[in-house]
Amino acid sequence: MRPKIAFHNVSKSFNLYKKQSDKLLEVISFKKNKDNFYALKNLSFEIYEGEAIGIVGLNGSGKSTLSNLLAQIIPPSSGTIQINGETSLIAISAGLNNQLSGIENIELKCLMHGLKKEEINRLKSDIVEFADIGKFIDQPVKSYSSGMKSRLGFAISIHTNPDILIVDEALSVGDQTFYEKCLVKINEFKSQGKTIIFISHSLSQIESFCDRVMWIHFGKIEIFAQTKEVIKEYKAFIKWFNKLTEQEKKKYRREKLDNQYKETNDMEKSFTSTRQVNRKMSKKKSSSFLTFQFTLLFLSVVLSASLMFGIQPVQSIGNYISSYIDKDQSAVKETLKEEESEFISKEINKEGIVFVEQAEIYGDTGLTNKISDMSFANNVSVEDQINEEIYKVKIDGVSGFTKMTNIKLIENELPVVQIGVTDFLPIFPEEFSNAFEYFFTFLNTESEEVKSKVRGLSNEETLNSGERILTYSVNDVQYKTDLEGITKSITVSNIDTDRDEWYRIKNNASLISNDSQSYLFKTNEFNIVVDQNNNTTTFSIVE
Amino acid sequence: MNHIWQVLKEQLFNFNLIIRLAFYEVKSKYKMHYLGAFWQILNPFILIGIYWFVFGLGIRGGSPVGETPFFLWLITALVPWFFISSTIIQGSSSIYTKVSLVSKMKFPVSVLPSIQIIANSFSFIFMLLFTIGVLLLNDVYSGLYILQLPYYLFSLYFLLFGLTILLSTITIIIRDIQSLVQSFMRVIMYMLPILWNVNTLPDLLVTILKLNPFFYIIEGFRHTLLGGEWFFNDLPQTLYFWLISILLLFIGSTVHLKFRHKFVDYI
Repeated sequence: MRPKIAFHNVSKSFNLYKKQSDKLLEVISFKKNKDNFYALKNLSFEIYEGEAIGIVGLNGSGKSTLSNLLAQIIPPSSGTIQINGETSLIAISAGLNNQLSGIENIELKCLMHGLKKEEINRLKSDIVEFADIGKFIDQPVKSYSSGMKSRLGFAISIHTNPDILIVDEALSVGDQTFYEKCLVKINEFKSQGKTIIFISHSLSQIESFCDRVMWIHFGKIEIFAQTKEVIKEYKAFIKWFNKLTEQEKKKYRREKLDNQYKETNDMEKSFTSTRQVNRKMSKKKSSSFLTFQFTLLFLSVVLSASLMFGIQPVQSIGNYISSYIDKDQSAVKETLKEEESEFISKEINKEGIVFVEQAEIYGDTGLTNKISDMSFANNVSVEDQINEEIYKVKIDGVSGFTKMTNIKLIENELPVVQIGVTDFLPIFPEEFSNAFEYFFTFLNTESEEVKSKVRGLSNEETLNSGERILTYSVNDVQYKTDLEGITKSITVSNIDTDRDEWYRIKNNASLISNDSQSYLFKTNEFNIVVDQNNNTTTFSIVE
Repeated sequence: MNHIWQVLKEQLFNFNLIIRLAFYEVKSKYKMHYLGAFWQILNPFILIGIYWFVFGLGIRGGSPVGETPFFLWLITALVPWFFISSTIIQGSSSIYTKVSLVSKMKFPVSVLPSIQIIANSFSFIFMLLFTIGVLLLNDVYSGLYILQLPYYLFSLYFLLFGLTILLSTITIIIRDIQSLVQSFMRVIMYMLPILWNVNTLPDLLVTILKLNPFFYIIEGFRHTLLGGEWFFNDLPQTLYFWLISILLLFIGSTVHLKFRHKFVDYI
């Protein structure tokens, strides 16, 4: 028969620390603490399907450690454990959440065992019925008595349908009726061919249904045989032990415990066998491989961080690749070499003119920090080309960056056209054309004088730049002054650009914006800008 | 690298378990509250309100950021940040608070941080949809840039997973980490472009702030929701983000696998 559980030379040691900080030191230095205590040593046994095994022993002999090893909660320090099947550990108040109610604990534990919602709903009533703790099932677990906790824990664990059930003193707190109920359930398990491991101090409980019993004595198996035989021996030992005086008992315990330490050190000395050395070597190898991976990753993080600080050539390669990402690979390779040496920045030093309705000027090359807007037909001096998209420009002594598409470089002077104010009369609104000569006389005048003579001022506003705007909305007129307060331009709004006359005029324009909505006419007297989007015409005096 | 695969595989195999426990987590968390899970949404709304009042109306005097109204600019970053900070704080204590529950059973401990991440995702997804709704109502369309949303969500979850598995593990060993994380998250919030526009700082300082991987995420969400830039426009930062995320996951999974058998001892 195939064994359900097989232990082979299994040992479990614990490190003993004197202070909290010792724990941390071991973690950081990855050094092994020499102060080991062997809770279990060189255990070898096999357990078969359908068996009920009892485990007995004094307090501190390693029973709970063994049950944790069996439930695969902790790994062995050395040796191999083979377990075929799902295990479930029942201990007093095992893994119940004190804040949640009984019914919520049932749901949570079932969820954690990986059960589905329908399965849980099916099991819930069974578990509640089995635990039989009445109305307390809706109360938080912290208000439960220890008997209730163990009943609930037992009920949950047994219903998650394990192959191997480990009961760690969980039944000793239940009363006789619950105990009987559990016995029925455990026997049902046994008849289904499942394995039960039963840890208890109650010899009568163990005698009543265990097939074999293991007596653990200070970390070692004293006897592992048929129930009757072991119980007889164990009872004899207890009888002998109880006869000892308090001092003799203490002395006996201390001797045995000292052995558990001493053997530790003996074992470590004998570990110079070749097998052990090999294992240490491979451990060293894998840990140095880890260190290598870590160093590699760490260095690349540092490298990429330094890239962010803008080592120029590499950065521009990055920009370049991202903008050409969908282009032919070979083309990228070819031009990359040229770009690398050439594209730091290119000097231009030419006059340019804003070519779009409005150009955003930014304070940085990333075009994120906007400093101002320039409208169509404004002059800028273009200093450098920063990359394939951006110009560095200077306006009134302030440097900024803008997209190349916003600016048209002026190779030759723009053509001067022969056109006068009167040519625009047909498209002016009636309110303005009736008195246009009057309004034009106030160009190149102190704004205070304009204000005193022209009636109907609807709004006055000073811009950030210091220029002022006077608005006469009734007549569709706006004056704009320079910094000294002298009116320099006049803007007429509500013009009618659908008139045939306009179609004749606009073909003469000196400059047309890239969206064909703004037109510049350069004359000897005025720079005239017509904005079809806003239906305005602006006449600015030529200096 | 093997450790990373092992931890990621555990997440995949236990995916259903994670989802079910995350649902349970949300349900049970506000069980004793009269308003229940509604608090998950009420909390962020209260905070958005106060941040908008103090930083938008008070300090900025209601002026927009570029052309975007401050309120819209704020929520596109604040909503992911709420998710990030609550997930890191709760995620780093996720193993510690649950270890007594799982110590007596066979349970893949590495999914505990993921459960916290998924549990917090429910309100995050809701708030994200709310944000998109508000943007649409204000006629702010990001156009094609919204296609980056899956990329940034993936980046966010990847970084959060690596960070929470690392923090939750060392919180078991060094309990002080938990308190450290809490105060640190508050500091980090002000070092990110969430409440104020960092672009007024000198370039060098901005680059130093960009070393924080969450900078990439927060900016990314803003670019995605408001439109503006593609994630591959800043290749060095993208590279840096992924390398540091992988490094964090590498350290996290290695430390986690090394110590998870000892968790019970350390409590």
